[in-house]
Amino acid sequence: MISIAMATNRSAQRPNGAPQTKVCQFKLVLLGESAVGKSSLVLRFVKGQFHEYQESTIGAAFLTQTLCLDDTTVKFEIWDTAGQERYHSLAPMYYRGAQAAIVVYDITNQDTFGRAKNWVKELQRQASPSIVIALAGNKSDLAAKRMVEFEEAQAYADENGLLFMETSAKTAMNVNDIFLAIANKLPKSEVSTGGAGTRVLNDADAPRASSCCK
Amino acid sequence: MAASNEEEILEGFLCPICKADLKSASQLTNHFESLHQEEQDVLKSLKEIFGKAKKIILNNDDTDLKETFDRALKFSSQERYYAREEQTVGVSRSSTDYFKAVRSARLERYATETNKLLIRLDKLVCNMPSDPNQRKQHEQEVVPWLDGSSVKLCPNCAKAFNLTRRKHHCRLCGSILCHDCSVFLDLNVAKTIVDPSATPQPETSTAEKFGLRLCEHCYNLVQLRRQIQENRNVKTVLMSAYEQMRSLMEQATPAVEMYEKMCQSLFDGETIYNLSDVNAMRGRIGKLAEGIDLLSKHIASLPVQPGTRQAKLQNSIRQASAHYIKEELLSLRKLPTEAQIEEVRRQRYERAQKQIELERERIERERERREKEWGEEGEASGGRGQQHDDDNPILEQMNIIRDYIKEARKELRFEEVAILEQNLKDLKKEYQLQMLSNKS
Ligand SMILES: Nc1nc2c(ncn2[C@@H]2O[C@H](COP(=O)(O)OP(=O)(O)OP(=O)(O)O)[C@@H](O)[C@H]2O)c(=O)[nH]1
Ligand SMILES: [Mg+2]
Ligand SMILES: [Zn+2]
Ligand SMILES: [Zn+2]
Ligand SMILES: [Zn+2]
Repeated sequence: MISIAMATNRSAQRPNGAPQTKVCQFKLVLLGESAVGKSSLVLRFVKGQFHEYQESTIGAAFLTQTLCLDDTTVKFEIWDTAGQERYHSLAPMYYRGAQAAIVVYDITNQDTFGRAKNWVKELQRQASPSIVIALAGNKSDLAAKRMVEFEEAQAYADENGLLFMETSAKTAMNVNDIFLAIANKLPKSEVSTGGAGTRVLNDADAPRASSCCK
Repeated sequence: MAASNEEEILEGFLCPICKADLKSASQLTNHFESLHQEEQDVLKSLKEIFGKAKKIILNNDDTDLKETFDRALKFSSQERYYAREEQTVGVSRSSTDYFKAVRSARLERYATETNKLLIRLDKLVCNMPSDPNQRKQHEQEVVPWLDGSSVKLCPNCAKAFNLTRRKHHCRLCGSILCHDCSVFLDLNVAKTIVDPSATPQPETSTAEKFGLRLCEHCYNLVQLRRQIQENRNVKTVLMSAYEQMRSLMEQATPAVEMYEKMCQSLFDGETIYNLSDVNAMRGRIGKLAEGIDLLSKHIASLPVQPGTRQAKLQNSIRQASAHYIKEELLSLRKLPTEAQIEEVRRQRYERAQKQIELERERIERERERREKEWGEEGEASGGRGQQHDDDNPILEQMNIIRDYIKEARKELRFEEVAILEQNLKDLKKEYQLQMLSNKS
């Protein structure tokens, strides 16, 4: 019922950008080998910063960031997990109940791509079945030392139905975009936790020119 | 496009549900398991992963056992799966005060009565004359007997007294009863009742003849007292299990010492023990560990009210023994492989061979020097030729000792094996020297 009201109100509200919008909250988890740049990606996305000497994460880090999409506000609750092997056992706690995951690898390191595939497999097996998974080939600014081919990763992502982008936390390339792509793919139901609710807004019928707070 | 965020970044062992920082991975998982356990399936997958991780870390033959002990050490957190159904309470009224009033009146009566009887019993038993007449007098001095002239029926069974059913007296209360209604208290038993510190004498079968004739009422009171005493001294199930467990531990400690010694000996290339000996010893320690584990589990599972000191005690015993097993019995050092032993022994053998060679050369030189000095005298003694060895007493002795060793080894008496092996070695050396000197 509210959806109808929203739909009719939408055109009236857009011009002045006053966001009489609904808020959707999503839990997003970052997974991947240590030093691939998970924390760096989050830091770039949340604070717009990059540190050449980013400290390795202990346990997990928690950050939030809000995105505005048309008439929806998407609030990401981000769990940046520690990539070191000894923390592996904690990961299930964090991806449990997550609606989205970004699995990160480093394009200059073949092993991290293998590790990323394992994370994808684990998510497919153990995480919520409706989870949206994105694969990020990070450090694309170091393309000169590339060890993982773009085509190879793209093919793998297609096969497994993952979103895929090569990113760089350093240059900010594709960082916002990958979060945005995830936000667009997530079902925005009335229930703010997302998941099984009915879709209020269909991606196809929503004009997607730009987001509101550019 | 992204609205900048004011909140600080949290980092650490954060609980994904309540965001508390738990300071360590294990504390975090404990917290998560005990407070946010709604989704058992996720938990299960978590545990599996933990199990695997642990296996990788320990990478040890005894991993499985170790894990069970690790689990036992923190098992208290998992004992909260009781059904939490609530029951509505109806109308209630406390009867405790009434109960206590009734009980204390009775208790008092029984207590004073029992005390009175015990004082009498004490007087009766000590200085009891053996002469029947004197004894009767003594008994009546302690407890005056009721005058039975007007009593026609036994107060207990209501049967008439006559020539065959004679009147008797309870030695503790002095009341009248027939023989059929009498019970007899063994004198030795009576002595231990009044003096619990006295060493208990065996009950005699002649209680009927020499014991104290009592009425049922007095007998029951005295017997009750005896039971209380015995219960106080009796070992509880927990105590006997604990004692059994301690004795296993006392066996285990020297066994571990022996094992370490044997193991070292193998590494040193000595031939006193075989690999199979040491393995047998390892097996025995394993058996002991198993026994201790079972007993301590048994102790921990004895029915007890949760939260009481008893519960804590049982729990602590279990934890202490699990710790003991893990630290003392399962941390045994690894045995060398057959090949390693072979190698060390070969090196040792070669060294010994070299030494013998040197010795021989030295004796040879000595002999040559002597021959040169004495000329043809040497020829005469050299004609003796090779001695026949088969009945050499040293060889015979060596064979006897070999048999002993076999025997001792079969019965896992490794201390003895060690001594015998040393013995055998000494004999060998002696024999070699003898052979050398015979040649010269
Ligand atoms: N050149 C380049 N370096 C990057 C990029 N992203 C991260 N790094 C560097 O890579 C290193 C590791 O980055 P982190 O963000 O700490 O990696 P992480 O995945 O969070 O590692 P853990 O916390 O140990 O799991 C840091 O020195 C970063 O500066 C990138 O896009 N380009
Ligand atoms: Mg990190
Ligand atoms: Zn919590
Ligand atoms: Zn009596
Ligand atoms: Zn009677």
